[in-house]
Amino acid sequence: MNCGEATEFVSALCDGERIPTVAAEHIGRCESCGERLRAYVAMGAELRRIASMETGAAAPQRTWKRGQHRLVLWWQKGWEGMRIPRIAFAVLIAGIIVLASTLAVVKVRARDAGTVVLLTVAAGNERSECPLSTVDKGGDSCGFVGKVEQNTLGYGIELLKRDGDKVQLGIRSVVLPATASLWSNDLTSEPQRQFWFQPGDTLKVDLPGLSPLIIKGNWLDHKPAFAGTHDMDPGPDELRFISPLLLRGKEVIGDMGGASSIVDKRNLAAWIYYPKQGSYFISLVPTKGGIKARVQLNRILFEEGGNPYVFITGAPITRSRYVWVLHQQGFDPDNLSGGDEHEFTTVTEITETPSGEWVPAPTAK
Amino acid sequence: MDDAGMWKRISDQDAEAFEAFYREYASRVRAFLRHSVAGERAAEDVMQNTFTEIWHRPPGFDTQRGTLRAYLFGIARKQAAEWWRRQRPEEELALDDAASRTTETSSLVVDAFNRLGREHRTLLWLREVEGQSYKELATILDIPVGTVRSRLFAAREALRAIWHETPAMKGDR
Repeated sequence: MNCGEATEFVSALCDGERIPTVAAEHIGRCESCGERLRAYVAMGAELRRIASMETGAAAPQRTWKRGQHRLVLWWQKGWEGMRIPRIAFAVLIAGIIVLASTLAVVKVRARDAGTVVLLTVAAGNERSECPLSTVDKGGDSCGFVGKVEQNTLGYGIELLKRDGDKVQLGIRSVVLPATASLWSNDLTSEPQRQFWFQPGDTLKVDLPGLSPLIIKGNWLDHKPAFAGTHDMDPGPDELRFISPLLLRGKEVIGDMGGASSIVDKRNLAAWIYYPKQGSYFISLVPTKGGIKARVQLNRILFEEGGNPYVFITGAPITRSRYVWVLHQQGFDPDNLSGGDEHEFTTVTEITETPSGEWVPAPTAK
Repeated sequence: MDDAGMWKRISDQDAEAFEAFYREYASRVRAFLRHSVAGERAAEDVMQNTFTEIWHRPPGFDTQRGTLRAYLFGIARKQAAEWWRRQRPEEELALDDAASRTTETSSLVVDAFNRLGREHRTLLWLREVEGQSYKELATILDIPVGTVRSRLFAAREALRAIWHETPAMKGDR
């Protein structure tokens, strides 16, 4: 054996791997190979020395909470008023939501006046917030649809009346198998149960086959501008769409003031639908057919068909400098909503293809 | 506790167990990432993403395929690759260069190390510093063990060549 044949075995020998006897014999007697071995050993020792200094500082402490990524929010203007056409919107959203494993939908408008009860509702590991106005009939209800304890849970909470410091809540709930789709009439056909609740207390609402809803609350003097996060700095893997407005050149082609969706995992995308414009999926990972778009604080800039587009939102969007925007013109919500088109934003799963690109989950197409 | 026991607790969302896992490995993963992405802040972010990913998606580890430590560094490597993919291509070279300048060390070997390609850096760090076995490296990099051997050799030779081409380093030896 010569040096050329033995060199790769020098590396293996350095790692304590078994090498052929003939190679070991050559390395043992060859000055050049011995020098190479000593160099490898010296390089490794030096790297370990440096690493021991670099790993000295402890990593920052973190708190790990069960299901902290699954914060599910759905604030909605006017659950009570969900008749046609609003019911069509609810049907659409509910149908989509329950088919996604994790989702976050926020629908709220900031209100300047009114006394508001901010409920925190825990269902299994899921936790959502729900602001209910005592004076504004357009903001006195909220709803939730999501996966809880291997089931699909939907509930709607309506503020019925106020008596001093207490409020009367009307609650409808439905529990279905995890694989089932939940439509809004599944919920609205359920009987409404009524409870008196005093903010500061805890209310338990039994659910069939699930842990009870645990409802807590407190009074606020206003309805918060948006839910879930109050930190201006987006977290890792977070993608926030707070009141997204879409411009093509100087023309506003979509305005969703008050509606928001928040993504907190890389396998999720914000899904925004504007009537006549189609669907936009915005993700932190490259989507198949998606356009790489630049992020500037609360703006996303991209070009399509030679036209400049800008999403403008109400808060910093993400830590990433780039996101991917996938535009699908052809999506027809009529098939889901029963004919009434409304803009919406929600969160949908995306899946990775063998080629490393991501595509929206089938339910989102 | 063995990997299977630890993983079961993590899969059960045992925060105490995961905190212990984080305490044991976080600074090591961060040190690894310092040489895999550009800058201290990026290394910190990617490290945090790595643990978040594991905490949120526990079904990902298969005890039959390797060790928990290899799985952890495999996720860290993928997160680092994802981080690079999100950078502007024309900036990559500059950022890569910046990575080499942002290390806090002045070691000649480490300076040479930071001039290696990212894949070589990854491989050498995991082998020399983390002591990952060839089998673990094969899992982390998703390549055959035989390829691990040849790539390690190539990485060492590349490092040695850079080391040798620097006059100061020759004198240093």
